[in-house]
Amino acid sequence: MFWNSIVELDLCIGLLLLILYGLLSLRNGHVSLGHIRFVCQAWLVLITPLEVQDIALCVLTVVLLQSFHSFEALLFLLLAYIGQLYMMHSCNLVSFYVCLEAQTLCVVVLCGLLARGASTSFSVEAALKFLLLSAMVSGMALFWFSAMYQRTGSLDMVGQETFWILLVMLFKLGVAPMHMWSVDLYGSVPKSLLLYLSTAPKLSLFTFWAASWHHDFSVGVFILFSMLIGSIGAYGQPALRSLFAYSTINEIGLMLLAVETAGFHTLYQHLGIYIITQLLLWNLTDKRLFALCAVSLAGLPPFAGFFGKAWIFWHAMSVQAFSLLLAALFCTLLSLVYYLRVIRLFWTAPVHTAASFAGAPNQTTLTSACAVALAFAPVMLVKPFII
Amino acid sequence: MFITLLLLAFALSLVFVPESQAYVVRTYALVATLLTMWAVTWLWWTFDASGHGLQMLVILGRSHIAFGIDGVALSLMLLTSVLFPICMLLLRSVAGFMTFILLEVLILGALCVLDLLGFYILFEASLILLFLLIGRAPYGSLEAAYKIVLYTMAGSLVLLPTLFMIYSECGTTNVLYMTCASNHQTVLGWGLLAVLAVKIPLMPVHLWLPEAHVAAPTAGSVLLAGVLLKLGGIGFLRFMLPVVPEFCVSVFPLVATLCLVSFLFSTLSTLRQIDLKKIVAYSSIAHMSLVTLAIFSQSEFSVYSSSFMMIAHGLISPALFMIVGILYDRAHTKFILYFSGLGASMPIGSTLFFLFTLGNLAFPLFPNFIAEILCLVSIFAVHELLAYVFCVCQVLGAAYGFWAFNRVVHGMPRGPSDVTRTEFNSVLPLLIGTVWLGLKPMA
Repeated sequence: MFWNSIVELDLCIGLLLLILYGLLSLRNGHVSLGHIRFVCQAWLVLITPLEVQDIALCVLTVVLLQSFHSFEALLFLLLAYIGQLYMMHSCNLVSFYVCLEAQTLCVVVLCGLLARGASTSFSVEAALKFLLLSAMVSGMALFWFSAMYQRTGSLDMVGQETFWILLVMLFKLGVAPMHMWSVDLYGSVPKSLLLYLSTAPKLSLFTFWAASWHHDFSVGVFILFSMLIGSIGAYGQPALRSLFAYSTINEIGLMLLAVETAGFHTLYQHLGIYIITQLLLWNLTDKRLFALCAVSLAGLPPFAGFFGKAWIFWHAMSVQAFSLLLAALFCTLLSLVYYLRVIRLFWTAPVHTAASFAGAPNQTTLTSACAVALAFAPVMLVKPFII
Repeated sequence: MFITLLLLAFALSLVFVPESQAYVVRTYALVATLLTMWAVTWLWWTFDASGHGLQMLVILGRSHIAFGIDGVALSLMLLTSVLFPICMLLLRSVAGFMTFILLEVLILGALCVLDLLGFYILFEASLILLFLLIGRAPYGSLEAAYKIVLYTMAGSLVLLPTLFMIYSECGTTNVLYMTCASNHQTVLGWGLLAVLAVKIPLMPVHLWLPEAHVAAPTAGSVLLAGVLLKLGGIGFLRFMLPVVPEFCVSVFPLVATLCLVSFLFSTLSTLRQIDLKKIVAYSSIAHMSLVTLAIFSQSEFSVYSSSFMMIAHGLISPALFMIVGILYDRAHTKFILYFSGLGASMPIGSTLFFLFTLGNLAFPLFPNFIAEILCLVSIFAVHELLAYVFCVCQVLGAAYGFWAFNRVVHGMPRGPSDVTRTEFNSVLPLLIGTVWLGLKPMA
């Protein structure tokens, strides 16, 4: 943990012990999960250093933590948060590896654990796929790091051939040639974990990329792959989750385009809009609002998603990455098809059918906050265009 | 300008409130659109017709979003606000009213915005509403809905990077200041041409129009034909001619060819159609290709003639669509072979159909005649052979017009009941406008 004084470290460790004690005595009944969750969130806030990206991750995790209701979830999410925190600030190959693995393994275990009823086998299968693929990629990365250590005697990230870091990160993000786990995983985890999966690792990985690591390689191939697969792969999908898994792959491709050409500020803007959209998407009970979120994701004006994409395209244009930009525009058009399908299905379907989203009352504040943010975001985002 | 948008936003919120009483929503919507019409008429009254510049300028703060109207935009706004109450009379569901009021906000905004990015945003935002309108479940066609959105979106995604290029060149996308774009005329011109050619349909990218018109409800077809095609026209006039004039001149041969080809193709395709709405839709393509040609000829009369043609077409085509809608209400089919001998059982309907068909083929005493003469004059000043060919081909318009009329009205009577008073009253404004403009065309 990061600390500024020994007293603060004492407080943090004390709170951690309190959390553990609370979790272990849940069975008694005089401690409620809500209280422990609150203490967890307070602890998260306390241990975060005062930099913007850490605060962003902290706020995100605090918000996401609200939707988890089980003992293991809280524990593993706290551990994952520590891993992410350290990873964002690591400048050593080994520390990067350890923190990434800590975060990944927590998420894997949660995926396998948090299943409900009939979807247990699907969750376990998806978690197994994720674990095996991730273990393979991380193993190869570890081999590469040790080979580099043998060759150069240092473990710094600067001035090394860092291709494997790129591969590991892109795998965890769900970028296209290595995206196979994400479709299964998105389809079978419970909604709260889905929210976590689609937002927090991406935020932490992109923050790490922006802050601590300078890449020498062009990710153009990955951009093209992601966008094409994300656009076309969703065409035949019957399940909403897998459709949005492919849309996530498309969006990740777009964010990689932002990193490649347009600069990190555009990336953060689009990522912020994307996170808010995801939070809104999976928390809604009203079908028509879901359709509006899909419109925002598709990048249609006047919603905020358009401005995120437009900003990225603009900066890509000014850097003159014309072929990538052309591919991105083409894939936006292709992905519009399945977004239109979602919009049509969710707008005109009768509101009182059986397929309603569950778990509404906990999320009303979150939903309304996100809806407001998404509605007002265009006003704030159009400013760079105006002035 | 603010008046109209605020009125509509108010109307939109009104539509939200009463959810259980459909007729209340209908009254509110009608009142809202009538208020808008009143406001736009007031704008027309205070417009100084002798001025050459843009008027009613509203510039928001230090931003470069600006709204303003010139003569073309004013006449189109008037047309829009006259058409919308008629549409309100034709709608039946709450969702329909909400969609149409939102569309009115967007279209009126798009007609008076002077900022290319604002035009793009408003223009695109209407697409998703059109998708929902055309793709609605029992009567619409999903294929047609996809086509309209994807065609227009493809064009506008080509516009988007050119928009950014303009912004980085000139520091603004406000058309008042955008005359510095002389370096990249070709690219900018192609970008603008791509999206506007889809919207005001020119030949290769016109395929969305017949399907969209057939699949839309009557009010939707009225809107599409009357207003949305003119968005392309005003895009050309306001954004393309001032910003990339050399490109317009250099691309004139291509555009002229496309216009001629689309005119011939659509007119000749109409002869084979068996769906009444498709006949009217194809005739819309033909008229708008004449408008485009007049715009690109950039001669002395071009702006005036093309805007007058847009108004005239905007009166006749919606009227024709409404008559087809009346027939559809009776028979629940648009199959032309089903209707015959309507002259016996629907005398008023047949008269209206006759009058508007005459208007469609630019018969004298109708505004289309004057508009067409002016358009041909403006083309003739630039390219005599093309104008001559167009003159000759106009007769094909008569061919399909009279043949459709013949098949529907004459022959053995099959007897749908005649036009009711409500329906007649909803067509009446268009009839009045047509007759008035035909006899006394003015600015």
